[in-house]
Amino acid sequence: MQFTVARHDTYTEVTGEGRLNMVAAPKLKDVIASEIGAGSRQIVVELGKTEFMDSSGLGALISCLKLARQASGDLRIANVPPQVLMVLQLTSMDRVLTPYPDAASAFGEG
Amino acid sequence: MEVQRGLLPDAPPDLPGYDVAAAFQPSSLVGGDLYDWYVESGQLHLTLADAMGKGMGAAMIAASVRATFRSVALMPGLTNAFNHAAAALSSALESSGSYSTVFTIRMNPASGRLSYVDAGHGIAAVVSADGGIRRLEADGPPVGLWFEDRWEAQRADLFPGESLIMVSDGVLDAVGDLEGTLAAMSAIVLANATAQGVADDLARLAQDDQEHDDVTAVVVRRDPETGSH
Repeated sequence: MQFTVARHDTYTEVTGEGRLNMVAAPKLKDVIASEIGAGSRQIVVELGKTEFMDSSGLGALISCLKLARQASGDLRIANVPPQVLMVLQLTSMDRVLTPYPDAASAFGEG
Repeated sequence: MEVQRGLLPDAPPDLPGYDVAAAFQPSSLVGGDLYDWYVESGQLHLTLADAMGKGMGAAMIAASVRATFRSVALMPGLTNAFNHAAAALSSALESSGSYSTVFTIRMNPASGRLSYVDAGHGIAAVVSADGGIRRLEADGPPVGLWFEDRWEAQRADLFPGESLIMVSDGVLDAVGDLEGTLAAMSAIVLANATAQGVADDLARLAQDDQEHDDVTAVVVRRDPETGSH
C-alpha cells in the first residue's frame, strides 16, 4: 500500500492506495506517528482508494486515532468505501471513527 | 496451523434435540479464528472469536481468549461473566497491540432461549425452516480495541426447526457484503439436512478466495417438533 501525505492549512491529509492489511498496517502507523511528531494535530485519512481493510488495518486506524488524541489532536476518516464502512459498522467502530464525505469537510465548520 | 487446530474442540457437545457442528478452513498463514463449545450447568456455551492479524501472535491471542472465557464459565449471568473475561483480557491485548472480536452465547436447551454478547463480531443469525433470517445484531466493540468498554448480553430464541449460524469474517470477505452473506446462510440452510452440511457449505464459500483469511462456521440446529404432545 502506498501512502501520500499532503499538508493543508488546517489539517494533514494521508491518502492510502491499495489494501490496508497486515503488511500495510505498520506503515500507516509510521506515517501518522511521524506526522504527529512533526506537529500535525488534525489528521484526515482519505480512504477512497483503499480497496480493502482487514482486522489489522482496523487495528492500525484505531491506534493512530489514540495517538492523535494523546497528542491533543484528532484523526478522522473521509471518502470511506463500502467494504471499509462495513468493517467499521460490524465492529461498532463507526461510533468513534465517524466517516466524512471528503477530506476538506472532516475538520470543516459544523 | 497445527497449533491452531490443537485449540479447537473435538466432538460437538451431545445435546438431545440439537445438531451442533463446525467447519474450519485455516488461511495459508496461521490465523486468529477460534471456536469453543461445551455444556456447563445444563447450558450450552458456545464462543466464536477472531483475534487480529495472522501468524503466531494471533494464535497466541486466540488461545488466551479461549482460556479466559473458559475460566468464567461457572460465573452466573452472561453479562457479568463476559465483562469479567474482557477485563482480564484487555491489558494483555492492549500491551500486545491486538484485539479480538468475540461472539458468545449461553443457551437453555429445553427452551431454546439464549443470551448472547456480540463484541464487534457482527455475523450471527437465526435461520428458520422456511429460510427466513433474523440477524443477531452487534452491540459492542471488539475486546481490547477501545477504552472502558462494557458489554450487555442480549436475548434471542432458537425455536424448533431453526438454525443458529455464526461465521467468521473470512466468509464475509469471500462473499463481499453482509446482505450476500445473510442470503447465502439462508440458501445453505434450506439445501442441507444436517448442521455439518450447513457448516461445510458455508466454509466452502471461501475456498476460491486465494488470499483468504481463516474461515469458521458454527451451526446449532434445533430439531423440528415432531408429532403430537
